[in-house]
Amino acid sequence: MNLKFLTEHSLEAAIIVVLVIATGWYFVIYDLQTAGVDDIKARIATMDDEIAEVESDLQRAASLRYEIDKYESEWENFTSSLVSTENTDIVLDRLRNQAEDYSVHILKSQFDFAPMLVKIGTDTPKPIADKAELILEGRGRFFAIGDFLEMLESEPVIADVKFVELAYQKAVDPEIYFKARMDIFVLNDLKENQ
Amino acid sequence: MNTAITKHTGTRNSDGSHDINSLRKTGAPILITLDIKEQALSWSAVSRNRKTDHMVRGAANVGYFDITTLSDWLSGFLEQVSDVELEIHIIISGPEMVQRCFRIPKVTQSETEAVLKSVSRKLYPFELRNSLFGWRISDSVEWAGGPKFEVFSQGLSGNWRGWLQKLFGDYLNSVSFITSPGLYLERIFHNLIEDFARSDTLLIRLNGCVAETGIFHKGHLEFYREVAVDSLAEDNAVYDLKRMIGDDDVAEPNGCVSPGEVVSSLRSVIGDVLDYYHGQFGKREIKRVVSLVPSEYSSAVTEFAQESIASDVIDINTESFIARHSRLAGIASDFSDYPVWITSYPSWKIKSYDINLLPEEIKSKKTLKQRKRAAGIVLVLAILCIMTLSVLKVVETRSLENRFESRNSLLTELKADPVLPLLNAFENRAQRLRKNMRQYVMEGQSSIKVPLLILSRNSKSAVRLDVVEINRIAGSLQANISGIVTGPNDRQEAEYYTYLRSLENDNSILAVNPGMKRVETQLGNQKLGFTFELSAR
Repeated sequence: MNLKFLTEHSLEAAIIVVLVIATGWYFVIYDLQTAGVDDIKARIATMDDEIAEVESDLQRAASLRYEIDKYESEWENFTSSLVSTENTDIVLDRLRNQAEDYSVHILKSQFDFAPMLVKIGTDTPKPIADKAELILEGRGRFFAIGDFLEMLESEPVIADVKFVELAYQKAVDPEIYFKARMDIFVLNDLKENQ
Repeated sequence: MNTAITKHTGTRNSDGSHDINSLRKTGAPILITLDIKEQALSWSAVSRNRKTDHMVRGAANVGYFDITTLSDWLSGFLEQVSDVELEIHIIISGPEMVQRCFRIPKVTQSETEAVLKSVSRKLYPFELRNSLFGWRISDSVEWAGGPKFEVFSQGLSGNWRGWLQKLFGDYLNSVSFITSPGLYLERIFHNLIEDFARSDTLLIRLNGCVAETGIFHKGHLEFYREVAVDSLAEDNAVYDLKRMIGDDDVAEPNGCVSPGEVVSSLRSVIGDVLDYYHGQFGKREIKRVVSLVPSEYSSAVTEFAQESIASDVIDINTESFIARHSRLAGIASDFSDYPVWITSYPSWKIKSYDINLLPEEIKSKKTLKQRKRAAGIVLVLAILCIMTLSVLKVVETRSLENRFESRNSLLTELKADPVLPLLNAFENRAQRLRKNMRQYVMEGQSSIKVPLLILSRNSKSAVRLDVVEINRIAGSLQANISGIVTGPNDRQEAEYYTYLRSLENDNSILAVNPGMKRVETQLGNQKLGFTFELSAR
């Protein structure tokens, strides 16, 4: 009787069987598979974040190495250019020669150093270089003076060109008189290793 | 009796064979349509492939008058295609198939069948309880006593319950449709004649010595009658049948009936039919006549119909109709004796308004079979879906695991880079260097040459700068400038301000602040002295 009933209602029975199988399959197999897939996806996402972080670190390391190389080269250039207070003549001679290259004549130069006692009396760490003030006076054509000043600013030992005065004195004289005041680095006599 | 189908006219297969066997090789299900009369039968068989129906057809001079012979013939016939899925449609005509059209009062749906059967019992010559009986409501009309349903019914005598089993035996479950020729023609006319339902139509058909008449109202058969016409000699009928089945050697009967005699007989038959029809259904106007008579009579019958019944006469015998029908059915057009065997023309679809006399037990068996098949399909599809989804999930899991592995190995490789442990040392070193550079190396500030360039590019011949002082104050450059303006006295002021304006408009200048002015005059010559401040980027 049951078999006959099932035969006559085979479609309904098939649909019920399908629903039962589908439900069982969904909760027993498919759901677990989906959970497994989600777990792997989450692990991959975490790993991707880690990879991005490490790649960022590597890029930063490369960028730092480039920066270090560049600054070390400039620092090397700077320290090798430093002279002691006793040897400022060397700097002056070099500047004078360079001025001649620009057709600028240095007429007067003056160095002002900070007093030694002040440096000794302080507790602060002693830097590798001290600033001294250099005043240069001279004459030259307008553009030659401009180029000379630009050269001075590119000199590693010159910290800053703080003041420039140009004076036009005689109508018949095409040259201009100038006075430039600048800070210049000299080797600290009491320096500590940097 | 199998020899009765040795020859038949009909559409030939591509290999030229005439036998139903030739359809087997297509492997597709075959639809066999049997038009069974009392003394003869015609058949068509068609197997459908994607593009064209392959069809063969034929006839045999066996009918249900001798049921044993018919059974033998059918078993031999069906045996040839026993290994192919079959669908069998049966059209039964003659005294065993009774058709009645009548009206019943318009009652509720639940009462309709009871009322209808009650009326039918009086109209049918056999007991309806044992017969195969079917009906349909053709129309609803307003009648003197109230609204009524017009009913068309047909019944097959109870003999056929046993005969069907005897005739078809194991193939009984393949039988899916049993009806009368009139209803079968209705199906065909719907396909064949445009707007068939629009006009009331009279069917005239000569089938052997039987004149068949039918009236279609709104596209539905409303009345059908078969009348044996004595004047159509039996010899002629036999001749027609033999010619139809391709027996070319048959001797032409001596006394051929002339078209005039045929028309005369038809006039009498149709007159009776129309009288009865109009008496039963009211004076409905017949606007169209469909003529299905052998070609030798077609022109005479057409002429008669046009004169006596309706001007619109469709002669199915003409080539154009045959070609159109063939095109619609997607089969080749070889339709000799078309009017004679048209009732066995294959038509796959059984529509809801068709009256199917198939016994209920076979119907339910077929339904059960269909349900089993549907159940099987549902199960298979469900299993396929589940398997597909599972496989896709497994593939996705594998793919993700592979990706995880590759990412893991990449991460391990990246972490093994010897630079990474030195990153902090690099940071410290760079920081210290940056500090040194900030302290000792001048960078990022404007050159003191900038104000000089600005003054140079804005210089004017009338303006002479005597002293230029440039100070670097808090990152910007301040210039104090003094000079004089030369040239015509009245132009000096304008030249000075033009000069200041040009400086203000220079993009590199932050501000220009004019200072003191001094005017000196000596011997009529004026000198305009000035000072101003200039801030540059």
